[in-house]
This record gives sequence, C-alpha cells and structure tokens, in this order.
Amino acid sequence: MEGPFGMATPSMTSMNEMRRSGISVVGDRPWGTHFCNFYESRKDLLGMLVSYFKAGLEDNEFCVWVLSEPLSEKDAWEGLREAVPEFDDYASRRSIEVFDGRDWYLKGGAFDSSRVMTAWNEKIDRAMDRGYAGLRGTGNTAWLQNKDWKAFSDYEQLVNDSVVGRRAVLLCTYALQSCGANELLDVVGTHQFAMAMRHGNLELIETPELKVAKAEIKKMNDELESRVHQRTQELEAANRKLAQAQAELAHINRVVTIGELTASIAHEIKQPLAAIVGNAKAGVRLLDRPSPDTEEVKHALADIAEQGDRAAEIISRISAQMKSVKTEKTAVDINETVREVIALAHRELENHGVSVRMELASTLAPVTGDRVQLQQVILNLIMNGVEAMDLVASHPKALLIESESDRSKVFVSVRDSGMGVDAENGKRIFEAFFTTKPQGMGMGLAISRSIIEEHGGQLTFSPNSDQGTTFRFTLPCAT
Amino acid sequence: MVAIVDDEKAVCRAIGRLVMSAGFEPQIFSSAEEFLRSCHEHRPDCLILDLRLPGMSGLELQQQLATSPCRTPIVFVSAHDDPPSREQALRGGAFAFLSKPFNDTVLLETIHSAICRDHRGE
Repeated sequence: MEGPFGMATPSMTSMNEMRRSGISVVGDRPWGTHFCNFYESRKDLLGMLVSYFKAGLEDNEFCVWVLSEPLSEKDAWEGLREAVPEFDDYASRRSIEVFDGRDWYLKGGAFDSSRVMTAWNEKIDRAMDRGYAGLRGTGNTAWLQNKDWKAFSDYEQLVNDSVVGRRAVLLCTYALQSCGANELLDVVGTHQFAMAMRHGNLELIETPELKVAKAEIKKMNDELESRVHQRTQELEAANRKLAQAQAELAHINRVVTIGELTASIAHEIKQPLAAIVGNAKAGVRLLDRPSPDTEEVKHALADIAEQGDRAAEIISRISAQMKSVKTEKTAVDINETVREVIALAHRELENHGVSVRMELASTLAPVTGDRVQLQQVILNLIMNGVEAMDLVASHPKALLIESESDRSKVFVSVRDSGMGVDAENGKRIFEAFFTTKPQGMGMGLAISRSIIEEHGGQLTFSPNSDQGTTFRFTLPCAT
Repeated sequence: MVAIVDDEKAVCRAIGRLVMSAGFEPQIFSSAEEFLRSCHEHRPDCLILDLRLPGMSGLELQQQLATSPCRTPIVFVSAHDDPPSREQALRGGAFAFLSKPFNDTVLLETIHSAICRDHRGE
C-alpha cells in the first residue's frame, strides 16, 4: 500500500532503517527510539519540534503532536505551515494530528498508563494501515503533577521497554525548571538518551544503559568486521589456490595432448622443410644444366629464405607452448605425483591397450621440486613407454612404475615391454629433436632430462633383460 | 607435362622447379577442383598430388580420375604419416606415395618411372 505521497511502503523498509530526527545533535536514529528533551524556552521547544515533525512529514511518517503549555495548537499549525513546504497537503491528508496534553494523558480526569499506551499503539497501527513508514510522536509533560510522577515515570519505563521493535520514534519533552535532581534522574533513566539546552546549545546526554549498549554494539561490530576480514582473506587464499590449480591442470592438459600437438606441429614443419629442401635440390640441378637458369635459381633461393623464416616461427611457437610459466619449488610427494599423472593419462593408456602396475614405496621421502615439471617428466616417460609398445603384438603391453628411496635419494623407474632402444639410437636418445618416430618431435626426453638435472637428479635408461626399456630418474631428498 | 596439386604454394614451386630441372614442364594447381577444370584440355603425363587438400581431397580426386579420360599416373605426396590413407591410395592405383620432405632423386625417378609405365600401357 502506497503512502500519501507515493513513497516507499512500510514493507519495503526495515526496522534497522535509520530515520531523520530533524534535530542536528540527534542525527538519524532507528525505529524504536524513545528520547527526551529538557527545554527552557517556548521558542526553543517550538523550533525543535517543528524541525522534528518537518523531517517526519517529509519522510512519510504519521505524526502525532501531543502538546501542552507553553505551546498551543495554533503555535503548532502555524510553526509547521511556516517551516514545511506544501504543509497544507500534509494537513489535508491528515498526516499530522495535534492533541492537547490533558486530553491525551488525562482523559477521564486521571492518568491511566495502559489507556495511554493503548492510544499510542493504536496510532502506530493506524499509521501502518494507512501506508505510512511508521509513527513519529511527541508528548509534552507540562500537565504532569507531583502526584502522578511515579506513575508517569513507570509509564515512561514501559514505553522505553516496549517501543523497541515498533515502527515509532517518540520524543518526550520536559520543562527543565519543573524537574528537580530526582526527576531529572528518573527521566534520563527511562529514556534511551536525553537532550538539554546548555550554554545556548542543544546537547545530548546519554544514559548509562545506552552507553553500555553502544559499547556492546561497537564490540560486536568490531568482532564482526574482524571475522569478515578473516573470511575474506581465507576466501581470497582459496581463490588463489583454485586459480593456481586450474593453471596447473591446463598446463598438464597441454602436456597430455602433446602427442596430438606434436603431430600437427610436425606437419607444419614438414611443409616449409619440403619447400626448402625441394628448392635447394632444384637449385643445384638447375645450375648443373648446360644453360643454368639462374633466374629460377634466384627465385628458389628466395623461397628457401622465406620458408626458413616460417620454420623458425613455428619452432618459436613450439617453445612458447611447451615452456612452463613459472617454476615453484615445494616439497613434492613423488608417489602422489605418479598417481596424479596415471589418472590424467588413464584414457590414453586405455586407448593404447596398456596396463599399468605401480609398485610404489609405502614410505617415500619427499623431494624439493616443481610439481608440475615433475608431472611432465613422469608423463613423458609413460607416453614414451606407451608408444614404444604400439607395434607390440606378441605379448601384453604392460607398464611398471616403481619408486623407492634411501636416505639421500628418491628413485623412480618406468619400465615398458616395447620394442626397445638399439645401441645406435641409445647414444642420441636424449638429444633435442632426435626421434625414432615418424611423427615425433624429439623434444620429450631432452626436456625431461633437463628438468631432472635442474632438480639435481639424473635420468638414465637401460634395456630390459626380456623386452623393452626402463627409464629411471633419481632426485635428491628434500632437506 | 607434370601436374602438381598442392595447397602449399611454396611446396608447389619447389616441386615445379625440380620437375623443370629434370626437363619436364610443370603445371601448378592449388586445389583438386582447379586441376579438374583444366585436365580435359591438357592431360598431364603424371600427377604429383598432395593427400590433404582444401575442398576435394587427394583420395577423392584419385577416385574421380579413375573413371575419367584425365586418368594419369599419380604420385601422392604428404607431410602426414597416415598409414590407412597410404594404403587406400596405393589400393586405388597410385604409382607411389612419398612423404614430405622427399628426396629429390627419388621423386624425379618416380615421376620418370610412372610416365614410362604409363606410355607402355601397363
């Protein structure tokens, strides 16, 4: 339900929403605020209350002004009309009601706190029903006599206790000259805070209860802030770990498909190579002719240069793709690394019909190394073993991965049952670009050895006594 | 005349120069379709044919030429190691299947042998 001036309906505002008090020293306060003012002059009282209700009217609050001397209803209407733009609109919509204090508090001739409480609650409910954000009220106590003081003080305590949780802001005004020390203490004690004119200025007087509550809230806020900060840091750390894991996985994925990558890159290199070699050979033949066709040879040489550049660019691209972005040396559990790589290469192994057996030491010393690079080495040795067994038909294709360690070193071996490596090729097997495979790039073992040596280890191979080859690397244990 | 069909222009030119150095006249095409449009006018004595081409592939061209008046001995060349395609090419009647980068002597002797066999009607 919309309020009179199309403002936000109560359902859209929350109990914690701050409301403008219209009184600068008070500032903004939440619903459920019950405070008091000790006034000295009529002028100060009127000025303060007009500002108070101006803010309430502008903020779609239903206003109830219960006044007593020194102010009259005429003072109230005139003050508001003067200060509030379009006040007549608010008045015509009955957004503000003005009551005489005696009529409000002493209806029936005596002060009855429950009747007065009921009246305020009815006003709050009516405000909500009519689509206002809440109730803004004030009650002046000039009608109060000593005989009613205790009852009224109890009533104020009841209001103070029950206004919390209600969409109401209530300001009680007391004439300062009517309050002795005990009355002052009673009033301050039954309100959340008080205001008084001191040295010509309106000042706040906070009650001890409010001070304690504020301190508690501050403490809770500080604790909450600290917990949020901690959780944010934990979340940021988790996100960083996730990003790193994703980058590592992307790198590993790249490495796993290196067989496919090298096949397509090899094709790319072969094209410029075919052009280079073809042109060079053609050039020699053309120059050998009785009438050498030097013009055509010149064109051939130009093509050789161009295709050489193209090949160089392809190789640069290969290097960039295979390069690890960063190396990070941490304690690495080689057994866990082997298991991760087997999991990654699982599909390739299945596709090639290779069975894998792992005989990993139950307790293996950690090594200090770059986990991703070591994964790359293990993967390369496994894939080499798989490819070595591709043409095997006479016996099962089996890969055995073992690990062990002594006090100073960790040993890992990858044994295949493939074609084996002959003595001639064995001398060159770790050379860059050397390969026995038609589609091979010849980079894997060279890079693997380089990684192992950079980790302070060694990569070697030896022929198996039956068939196939075992590649073995050592790494120093983490100190 | 030796026709060369390869989408790699630099490879075409290199093979063309080799063919020229052996005394043959090269004619270069960058696609199977381009070759088919001209082979009716000038049937080549030999066709150097790349396996993988844009559009119609080398094997598809081989199939089409098998029943065409443009039928001519085919020497396949390829940068890919593709045993099934190699088998299919040879079963389809290719004279030879050479891998890139090829040996110039082997290529030229293959072209020479292909032309001689074709002229003998084998």
